[in-house]
Amino acid sequence: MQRPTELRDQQGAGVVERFLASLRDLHVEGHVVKDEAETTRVIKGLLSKSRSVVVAGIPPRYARAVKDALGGVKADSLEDLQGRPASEVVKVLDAADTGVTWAVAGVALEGALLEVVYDDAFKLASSLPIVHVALLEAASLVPDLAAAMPTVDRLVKEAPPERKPIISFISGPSKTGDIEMRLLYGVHGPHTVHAVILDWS
Amino acid sequence: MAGSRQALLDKLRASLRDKESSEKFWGAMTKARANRANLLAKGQVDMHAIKQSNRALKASVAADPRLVEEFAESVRRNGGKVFLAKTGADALGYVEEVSKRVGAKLIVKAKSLTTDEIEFTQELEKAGIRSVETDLGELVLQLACETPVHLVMPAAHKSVKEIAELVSKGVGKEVPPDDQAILKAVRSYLRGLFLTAEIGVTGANIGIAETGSIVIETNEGNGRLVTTLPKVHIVVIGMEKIVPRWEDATYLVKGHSASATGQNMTVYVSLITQHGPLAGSAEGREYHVVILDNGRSKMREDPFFSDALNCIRCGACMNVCPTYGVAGGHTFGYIYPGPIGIPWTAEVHGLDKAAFAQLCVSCGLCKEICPVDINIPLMIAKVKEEDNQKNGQLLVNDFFMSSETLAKVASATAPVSNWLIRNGVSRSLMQSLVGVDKRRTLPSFSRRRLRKRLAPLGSGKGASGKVVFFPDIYADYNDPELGVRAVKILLALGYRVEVPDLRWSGMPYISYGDVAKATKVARQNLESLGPYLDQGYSVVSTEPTAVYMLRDVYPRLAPGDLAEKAKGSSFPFFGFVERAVGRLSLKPSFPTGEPIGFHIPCHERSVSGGMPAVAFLKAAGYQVQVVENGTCCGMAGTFGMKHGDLGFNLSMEVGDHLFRLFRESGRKLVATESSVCSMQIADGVGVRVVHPLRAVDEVQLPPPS
Repeated sequence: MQRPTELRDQQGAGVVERFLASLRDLHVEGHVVKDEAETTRVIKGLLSKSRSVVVAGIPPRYARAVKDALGGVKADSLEDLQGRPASEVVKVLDAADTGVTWAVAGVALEGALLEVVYDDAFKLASSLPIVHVALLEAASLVPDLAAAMPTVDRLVKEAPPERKPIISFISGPSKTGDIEMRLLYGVHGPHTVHAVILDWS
Repeated sequence: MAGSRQALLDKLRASLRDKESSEKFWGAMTKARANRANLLAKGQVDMHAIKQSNRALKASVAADPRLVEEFAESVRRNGGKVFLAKTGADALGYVEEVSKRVGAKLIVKAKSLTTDEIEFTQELEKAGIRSVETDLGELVLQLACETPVHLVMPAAHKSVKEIAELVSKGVGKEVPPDDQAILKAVRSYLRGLFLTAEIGVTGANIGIAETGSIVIETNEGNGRLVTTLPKVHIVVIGMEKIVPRWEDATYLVKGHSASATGQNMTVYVSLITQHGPLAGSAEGREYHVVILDNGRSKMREDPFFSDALNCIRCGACMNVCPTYGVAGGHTFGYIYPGPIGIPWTAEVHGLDKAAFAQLCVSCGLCKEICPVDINIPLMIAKVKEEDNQKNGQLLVNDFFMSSETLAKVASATAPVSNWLIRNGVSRSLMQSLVGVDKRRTLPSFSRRRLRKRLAPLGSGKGASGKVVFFPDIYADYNDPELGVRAVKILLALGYRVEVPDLRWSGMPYISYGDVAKATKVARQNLESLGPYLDQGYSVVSTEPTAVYMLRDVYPRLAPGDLAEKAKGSSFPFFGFVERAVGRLSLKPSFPTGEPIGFHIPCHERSVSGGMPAVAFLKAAGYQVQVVENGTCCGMAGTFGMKHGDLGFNLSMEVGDHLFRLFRESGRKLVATESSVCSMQIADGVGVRVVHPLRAVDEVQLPPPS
């Protein structure tokens, strides 16, 4: 997906560092990668314990880096499953232990990934597996939530009534405080989240 | 509500006896306050801006029928179905109809207070449709057949052992009392239900009118599965949640997460505009939005209760409420618990369900912490007033609402009145006849009132400005010497000082629910202050409650230019003199070898935060140790003077948490600005407690020329 135009103009100095710091606070591992080879190597490392991966929404520019990282791991791409019955796709998603997805932007202060999809299967790719690896471009980082909201506004308004975007801000692994107020990670969503920040110049 | 009052007392008695649960619950609330405070301490969240923005937004749009229509139209335009539900029964009927039409046997539900309000799960079960809560806390409560104790932490009262037992029952196999084992069992059990449910039901934190979108804020990830896997998604949204545009959502999202859990954002903020296709298939996928009124339109028209519609359900008012922290959400609540639960319960479930309003002690902390600056105490006062009109006022409350008259009589008859106050027999009589607890040490009265004592001092020339000193009761009838000390400092700093014949601030009318009398006092005081305000006088008081009334209560009771002018011109004494303290040569009245303890009164928190008084003591040479647990000492005006559980006993139970901190601090001398907090700490800790002005030697003035 093309990065929203208004996000390109809102970067401040140190936004990557701010984003990484926020991710650390939120128990998300951030990985800045500089080129295709490094991207493949880092993702491969993240998937070293994965047995079943589902990949969703990775833009063509980065598809090869992801594909090369998947060698030897059972992997399905949601795009490749197009046309299959929904129940079958859900089975694949439910069986996957890792989802590799795309975030159109990152929100530095809040440490949030901005996910924009048009099919709930793509949302499930970051919801059902126990490990979530999100890819995003360093250039897509915005300083804070307020700076990201105009993008949300535009994406929703510009979309035709029959195909509205399904948007999520994701800031960390699934968590709960419902057992004696202890902060516990990993309930219904991913227990582990990685953000791979693509800084290919 | 008379029967409800007795039921409340029974529940309160049980809560006070169950020390272990109370202690655990108090600990949970303390932790919740700390989470918020830690986030604010990072400096990443501007709570002041959030409050201002949210207030301005919500106060203008909450439950606006035009916005509701715009939102509904936008949802329809995107292909969704809209149902405007006048009542909870209407909403349930619609969901039942949809469920039967699509042949649904199972509903998975995300956490939604709006659906709790209409007893969604229980009612759908009656119609033969199984509805399962998927938020862990809500699931635990469903298995326990209980209502939430807290808006955000619904099962905060349950131990890991109890949760494991309930989850074992739910999943049908033994689950050990271990955090990870519970999470694993719940994930596995609910995953099967997510995959098979025909309908997913959610609430919505925000509705966006312009695009017909909703915002759902969650942490566990269940909301994402509820809104994607089932073929049908039904949203039940209260009409007050709708705002005009996306840009309006930012501060609401920030304010909600910061206040609720001390997060910058919840883990998942989902922005949904329709039920999208699943794996390319839109077959059978339906999107329904039920917009719930259920009393909200009526609330919107009410000058007091319309403010409740501004609530964003963050639960912060619960975390800070002192009596809720002791009593727990099942005593201090119906379906909606805690302070904001009082007006909501009275309005949507009925006055008879809102008897727990009597547990509110009007400390005002809920207003102070609210990210939308909702005047919760004032709405609670109104609920109490309606309750009193229906069921009668308690004699002891009437007694304390007559404090101004009583003070006049006690002052005029001192020292006889003081002897009676100290005498065991008369105190026993006061307890049995009126309901004033004999264990409480009451303040003495002075025969010579403030204005007489000030006469020799003159009014001053006013080179620095002009001040009206508002003594309220304590600095007029009980300790006028305190008022003299304050006025002398003002004179020494070059102010012209007038002490007109004002009435008391009238706080007990708010505490005990006589809004009509509170309004009358507000009008009288504002009328008396009017000419001074017109001449540029500031209003200064040593009693935090008086300034709180002038700033936060009078403008709502007697709205208009005069009240706004008084609000902007009213100052706590130490806040007013703070910048000039260096010009005074303050001398400590007690040894300064060890620190003096300091307590921040609740009403002072909103007016100055207490730090100007600390600065004053430091200027006199003291080291100051603020001893603090972030909430009330429990005295709450005259509440702690009342006999029994709904008074002294509850007051001391709340206070005990602070008393322990003071004991641990080892401080032998404590200073606080509030007259009633002094009594509580002295009674509870057994140390000497003084007003900061009495911790320094009196400022000497040159004889008037």
